[in-house]
Amino acid sequence: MPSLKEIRTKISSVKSTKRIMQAMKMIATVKYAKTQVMINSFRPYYDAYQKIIATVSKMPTKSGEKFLKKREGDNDLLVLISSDRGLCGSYNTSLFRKVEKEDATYSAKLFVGKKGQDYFKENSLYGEEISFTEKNYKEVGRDISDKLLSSYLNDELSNIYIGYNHFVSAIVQEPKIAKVLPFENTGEGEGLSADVLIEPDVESFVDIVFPQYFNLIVCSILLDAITSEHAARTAAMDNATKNADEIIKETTKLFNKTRQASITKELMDIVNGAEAVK
Amino acid sequence: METSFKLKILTPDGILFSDSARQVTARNSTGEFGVLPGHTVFASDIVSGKMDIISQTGENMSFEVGNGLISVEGEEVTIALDSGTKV
Repeated sequence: MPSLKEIRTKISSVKSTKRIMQAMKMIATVKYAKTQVMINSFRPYYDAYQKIIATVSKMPTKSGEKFLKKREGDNDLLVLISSDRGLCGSYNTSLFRKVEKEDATYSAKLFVGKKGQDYFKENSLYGEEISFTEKNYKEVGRDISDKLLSSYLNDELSNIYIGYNHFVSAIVQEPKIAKVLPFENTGEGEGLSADVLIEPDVESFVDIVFPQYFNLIVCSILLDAITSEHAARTAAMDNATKNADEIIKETTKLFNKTRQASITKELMDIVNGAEAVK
Repeated sequence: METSFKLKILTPDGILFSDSARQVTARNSTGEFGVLPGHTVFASDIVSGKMDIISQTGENMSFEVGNGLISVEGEEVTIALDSGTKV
């Protein structure tokens, strides 16, 4: 049986861990609430673009074909969005497992977030470390999408996929691998009527708007992923706090039992001693 | 004939303007253009610069805007911009 002192140390260490977990949970909760508001503001903007894209992607254009036509070739790229820090439950591991389970082979990977590269131990495309938060997701998204687009248009890449955790609800985040280039499902949703007048002309319009739309897709996925991360961390820290409570309860019980046992033992000694003297 | 249309200006950070308006003037890659009520179905890009609105009450409003696009269908005008501030 552990000594009283050992148990006391354990209780106090669990208590201090619990305090850290609680603090982290509070931070994650605040960030999670913030990113949810951001998603709600982003959505209508994104939808406005999608409506136009649905309209013009049906029109045959030379510039549009580059973005829409299916590509053969084995230079597929996977952009993997993981977190920089741990303590977020199965946020990263379930995504990595999903990537490993897939039959598809990617000739290169681009890691966003440190955990992905740590896990796969591969070089990241462009060789730089990329991290982002909800504060700079637009800048990082623009940077990534510009680079990817120029590699894609130079035929260095055949298809571009993004692996990330899609936000479903506070407790459910779904690991997902989505094809982002060439565009898929652009025809979905309602577009403008077909007799639309497009300025300057369809060809130049597509030339301007399609790259913007690609940037938008990347940004929306980054925002989705960071929301999932904060949600996952909130849930994980909540669980950890509950577990700490459980451990504290059990250990306190053990502490009391041990204390009681030692008191009983001392009493017995005294009684026995007194008996012997008689 | 209608004298106003529903105008919505959207940015990634939220809705910048959502109300009835009489006129919008903005710039695209070929130059300045305006939208009045009863415009045909229309879509165009918008390049960064100044954008002016005349609201239903006749008030002039100016915005400093980033790149984006505009779509007009019926009496609904939607403008999506990557950034925008009222000046």
